[in-house]
Amino acid sequence: MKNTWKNVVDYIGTSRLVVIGFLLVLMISVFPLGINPGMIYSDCIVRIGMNGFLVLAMMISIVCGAGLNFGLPIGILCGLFGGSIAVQFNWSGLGGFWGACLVSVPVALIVGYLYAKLLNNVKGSEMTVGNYMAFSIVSLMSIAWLVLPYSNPKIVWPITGVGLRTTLTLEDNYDKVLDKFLKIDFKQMGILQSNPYWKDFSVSTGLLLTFAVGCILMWLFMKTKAGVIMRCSGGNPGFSRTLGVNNNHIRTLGIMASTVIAAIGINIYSQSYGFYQFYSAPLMMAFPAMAAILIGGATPKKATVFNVILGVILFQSLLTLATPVANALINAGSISEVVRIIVQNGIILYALTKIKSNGGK
Amino acid sequence: MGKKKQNKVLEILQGYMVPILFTLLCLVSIKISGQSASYVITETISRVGRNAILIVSLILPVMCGMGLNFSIVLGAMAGEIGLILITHWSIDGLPGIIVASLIGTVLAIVLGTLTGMLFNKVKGQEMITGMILGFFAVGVYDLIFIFMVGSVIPMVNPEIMLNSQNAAGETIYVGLRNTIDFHAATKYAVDNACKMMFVKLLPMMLVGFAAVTVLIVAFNIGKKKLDVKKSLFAARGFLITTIILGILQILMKTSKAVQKAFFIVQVPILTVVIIALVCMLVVFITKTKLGQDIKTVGMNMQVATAAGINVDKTRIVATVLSTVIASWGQIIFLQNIGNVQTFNSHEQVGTYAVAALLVGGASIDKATMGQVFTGTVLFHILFFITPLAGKVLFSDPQLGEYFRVFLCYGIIAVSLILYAWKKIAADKKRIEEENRLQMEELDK
Repeated sequence: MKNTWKNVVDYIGTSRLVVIGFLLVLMISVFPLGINPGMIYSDCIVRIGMNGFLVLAMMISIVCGAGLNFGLPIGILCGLFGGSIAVQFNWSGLGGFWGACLVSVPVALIVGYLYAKLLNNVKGSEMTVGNYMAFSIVSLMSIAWLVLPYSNPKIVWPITGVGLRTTLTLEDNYDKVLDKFLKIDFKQMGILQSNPYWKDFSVSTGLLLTFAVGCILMWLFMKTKAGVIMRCSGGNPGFSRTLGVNNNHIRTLGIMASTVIAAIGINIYSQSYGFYQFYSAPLMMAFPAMAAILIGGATPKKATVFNVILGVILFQSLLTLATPVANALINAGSISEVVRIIVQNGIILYALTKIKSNGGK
Repeated sequence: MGKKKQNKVLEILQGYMVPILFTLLCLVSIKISGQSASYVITETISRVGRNAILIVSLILPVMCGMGLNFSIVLGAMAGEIGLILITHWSIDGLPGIIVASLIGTVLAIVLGTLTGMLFNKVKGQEMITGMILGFFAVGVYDLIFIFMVGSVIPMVNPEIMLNSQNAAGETIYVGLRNTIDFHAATKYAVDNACKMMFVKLLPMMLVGFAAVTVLIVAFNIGKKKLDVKKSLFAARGFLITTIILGILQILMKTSKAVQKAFFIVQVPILTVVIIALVCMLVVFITKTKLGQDIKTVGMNMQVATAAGINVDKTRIVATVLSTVIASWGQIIFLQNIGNVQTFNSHEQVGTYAVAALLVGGASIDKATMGQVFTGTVLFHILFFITPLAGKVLFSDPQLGEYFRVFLCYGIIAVSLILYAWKKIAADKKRIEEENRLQMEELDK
């Protein structure tokens, strides 16, 4: 019994246990502070499902040996492109949502291939190059959103009639279509309606199901021959080369997969959020995903599906819970947003110091 | 012989490709925007004046092999804190600016030391670490100046702080305002201290630069026994500036259009003097033992260690100097703006400075004073002209705005890629060389 407990601690890691403890304190503190727990917990679940895929995209990039994918916004832009096509042609419902994903995927495959070729040529500086490549492409696409021939009056600027709006509402298309799929809503089903704590609780089954399917597929992929080769190549490129593995080929595959998953991820994120955000919105989207997988115990060299799930649950629940709890305690407006910036970048900085230096060559 | 010469011309063109490309882009944008020459010149002088020092602050880390120092954001914050404090204490005018730069320097030394220690832990990844560190520092800065000022740090000043009612109905002051206006005497204190018409200044500058050129040439020929050609080459920066100023002076006397363009242009002498002093300080540092250490560390850390140089300490010193210069730069910048956007002024400092330096033709491992000034001029002309050109071309200023952001990030991305390629190619060559030597040894 004692041994199992020790194994669990070793597996999760002491620092993560501290975070879990802190999260539990926050979760319990909701009750005495008079915050509606049902609603807050439902929010947590939604946020976990929303961000899950973006964190999965981060994982495969780490596994294939390309490190933290600072170029995540590139995949996100592909997804946004698919989404803008879907809204332009008024696609709606579940079909519309998957249509948007379907449009995004080929674009993401091509873009991901080119991006992988670039990263293979700048080994050792993937992070800086990826980051500034993503930043410049986000600003290039800002110009594209303005000049591409979108014509649906619902999505172009009202007066001039050209260029996409900064945010597109999905109310008439597929707003929360995954969230509502098989949703367990205590209010509608009449469960525990007399209980003041739990009457607003709901579980967005569809959203969680999608994330779960994504995780299972990724886990299964890691068990296949290709997955094992990818892990080997990412973990020790020199050794795998002697085994006859083409490292560049594996990296190309991994980065393409990362781009595609990010493209689907942003569509999932947006349908739950209810809006597509264009222009400078994707600029900073890689950082929360990075912080999430790192808090889940991944390093820039090694990541598992377990890290993804644990990380996204911890990071997103912390963020969701921190806002109301901080406001109830010290009534100081946006303090949780500031704390988010500090925690998120602090985690990334800490992870960067753990990358083994190349001796300053 | 002819072919060799052609090759040389091509080489020079390649070396200066980026500045040439951007000069063309600037000229085209100015033409499209249809702005008058005097507007462009006035605007350029004021922008170069306020941004130059921030860009100079990047040189030392580049020499030290740490790449482009995105963490000058921390230095900028130190300068801002100095300015906020003198506004709080109502120390106005030039004395206020001096107090602010003293406070900024002290803070920058502390922050720079911490940054340097962090950089020593992430050798080879300084740039991305510097960028994330910038974001992190912005978070800490916000935490201090939105929530802690007034509540944890005792400070009451209705002029620069937000007021609110607490539970007991008393007015309390917590957090700084979004925009803090400097007092009238502090605004433009450095710029307005001593202004001069450009027309009157030009002959003096011409004489000054010519004198320095002659002195350097004379020194090189007399003391170092170099021939004339080599000593002229040593003074090339001053020589080129003298020639350009001379041409300008001749044009001014002969052409009405040029005269008109420069007629209303004023030059803030004190700012120019401060910029010149900071530049001289940096050049002086590179000539000292410390500067040689910095260069050696930048070339090869192992060699530096073998030569008995304390690599980690040298890198920290370079970071501290860069941070301190950046804090002065931000003070000069903000006194020219006249107010501080408490939570936004520092956000893009690193990105813009780095982009400007790269536009001048610098790379990740090499930057000179000439590149600093070429880059500052070109980048800042583009910076204010592209939205105007975009407005004329597409009747939408937004497009020009996005284009300028794209240029900014794009030039950084391209430089990083080129540098990575160069590094990989050098590594490959080194390994091949080693293999060849080994084979030769085996053959023997």
